Amino acid sequence: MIELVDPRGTPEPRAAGVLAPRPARLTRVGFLVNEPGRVSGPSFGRYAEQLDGWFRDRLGVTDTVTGFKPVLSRRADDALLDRYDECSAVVNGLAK
Amino acid sequence: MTTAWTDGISSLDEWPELSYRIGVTDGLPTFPPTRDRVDALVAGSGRPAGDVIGAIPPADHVATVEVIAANAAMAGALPAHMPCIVAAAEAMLDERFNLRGVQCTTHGCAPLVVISGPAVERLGVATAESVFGAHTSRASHAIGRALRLVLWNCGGARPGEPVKEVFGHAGRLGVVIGEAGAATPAGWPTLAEARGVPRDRDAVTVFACEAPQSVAFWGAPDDPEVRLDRVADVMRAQGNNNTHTMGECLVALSPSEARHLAASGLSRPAVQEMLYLRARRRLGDLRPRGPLRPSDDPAYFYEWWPDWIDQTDDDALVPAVWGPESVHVVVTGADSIPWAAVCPGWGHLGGLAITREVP
Repeated sequence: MIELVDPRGTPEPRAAGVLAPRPARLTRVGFLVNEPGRVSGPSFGRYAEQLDGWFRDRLGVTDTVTGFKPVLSRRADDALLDRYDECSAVVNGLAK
Repeated sequence: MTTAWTDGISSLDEWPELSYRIGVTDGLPTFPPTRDRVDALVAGSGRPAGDVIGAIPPADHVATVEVIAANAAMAGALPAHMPCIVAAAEAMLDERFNLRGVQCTTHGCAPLVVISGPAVERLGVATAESVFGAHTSRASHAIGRALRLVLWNCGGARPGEPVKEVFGHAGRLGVVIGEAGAATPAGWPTLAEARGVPRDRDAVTVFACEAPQSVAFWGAPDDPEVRLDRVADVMRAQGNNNTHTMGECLVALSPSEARHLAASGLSRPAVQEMLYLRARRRLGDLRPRGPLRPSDDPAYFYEWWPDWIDQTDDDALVPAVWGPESVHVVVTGADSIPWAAVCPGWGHLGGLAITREVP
C-alpha cells in the first residue's frame, strides 16, 4: 500500500461553550433591519412582518420592536441598541 | 480520520479520481500526498512536522507543517518552496488579514503573494511576461497552489457555502508574483524593504486583492504626473471597494515605467504620495443624495472615513486609500514597454498587506 497524508488537518479543539440562558417564554422580540434603502430593506421589512405574526400566533409574543440601521455596514449606534434592552430575542438581517 | 483512503492506496493511478471523490481538490488535478513526498517537504521547511501554524478559517482545521506539506505535495511543490509557503500561511493568519472574511466575502479579493529577496531568483519565481498568471514558473504555480489547497482543505473554502464571492477571479486558484529586485530602479526600496525586510533577505507579502487591472500609457506624455494620474484613475474607479471604504491597493509597475519615473526624479515614496493625492473621487458621486444619504445627519455618514472629510460637502474629495503608505508599489512584469496594473484591495474590511521575513 502507498501511504497518503491527509491534507485536511484536524478540527480545532474548542472549549465546550455555555449557551445563554433560555427564557421560559418570549414576550418582547426585536427586529433590526440592516438597511432601509432600496438594496435590502423592503424585503427584510416584509419578512419581519411575517415573523411578527408567527411569533405572536405560535410563541405567544406580545410585543415587538422594529428598528433600522441607516447604513448597512455600520454598527448600530448605542441609542438604537438601547431600544432592544428589554427584548427576549432580536432578529437582525437583510433581504433582497 | 476515519475514511479508508487514509489507510493507503494500492496504485498512484487511484489518486486522481479519489481526490475528486473525497473533495480534497478544488477542481484542478493534484499529485498524491505520499508519505515520502510529504516528509521531504517537511524537511524542506526546516521545522518539525507537528509545528502548528494555525487554524485555517472558516472551517478552522488546524494546519501543522505536515498538513501544509501534504497540500504542497498535492500542488507539486519542491522542498525549497516550503519556507515561502509556510511563511505566507502564517502571514495570512495575521489578524489584520482577516482570513475568515477574505475566504467568505461576496467581494472578489483573493490572496496575492509577493515574494521578494534572493528567493525570487533562487526559486525561479515569476517576474517577467505574464507575471500574474500564465507564466511558466513552477515555483509561483506550486507555491500559489499549495496555499490555495491549504485554504481549501483546512479552511473549507467551498463556493456557495460558506464562500459567498459573487464573481471572484482566477487568482483565487493561487497567484504568486516575484518582485524584480534587480530591475527596481536604483535608490528605490523594494516592497519588502519598504516594509522592513532587508533586500538581501527573503520575504513574502500577502495581500487580498482583485485581479490586476491594466493601465497602458497610450498617448501619455513623459510627464510623470500625467502618467500617474492614469494609474490613479483606475485606483479611484467608482465600483471598487477602495473608493468607498479606503484601505490599501497594490500598484505594479513594469521595470521600464519604474525607470522612467525614477529618471524623472521621483522616489518610490514620491510615487506613493502622488497616487494617494490623485486617486480621489467627489463624495457626491460616490454617495449621491437619495435613500441611503437623505440628509446631512451624521447617522448616514461612513464612520470609516477620516474626520477631515466633510461628509456634508458633495464636492469633498475622498481618497481611495488610507495614505501614501497604503499604495503598495511593486516593480515586476515584462521588462519591455512601460505599463502598470492596479490591484484594488478589499477596502477597510481586511486582506491588508502582511509581510514576513522567510527564515
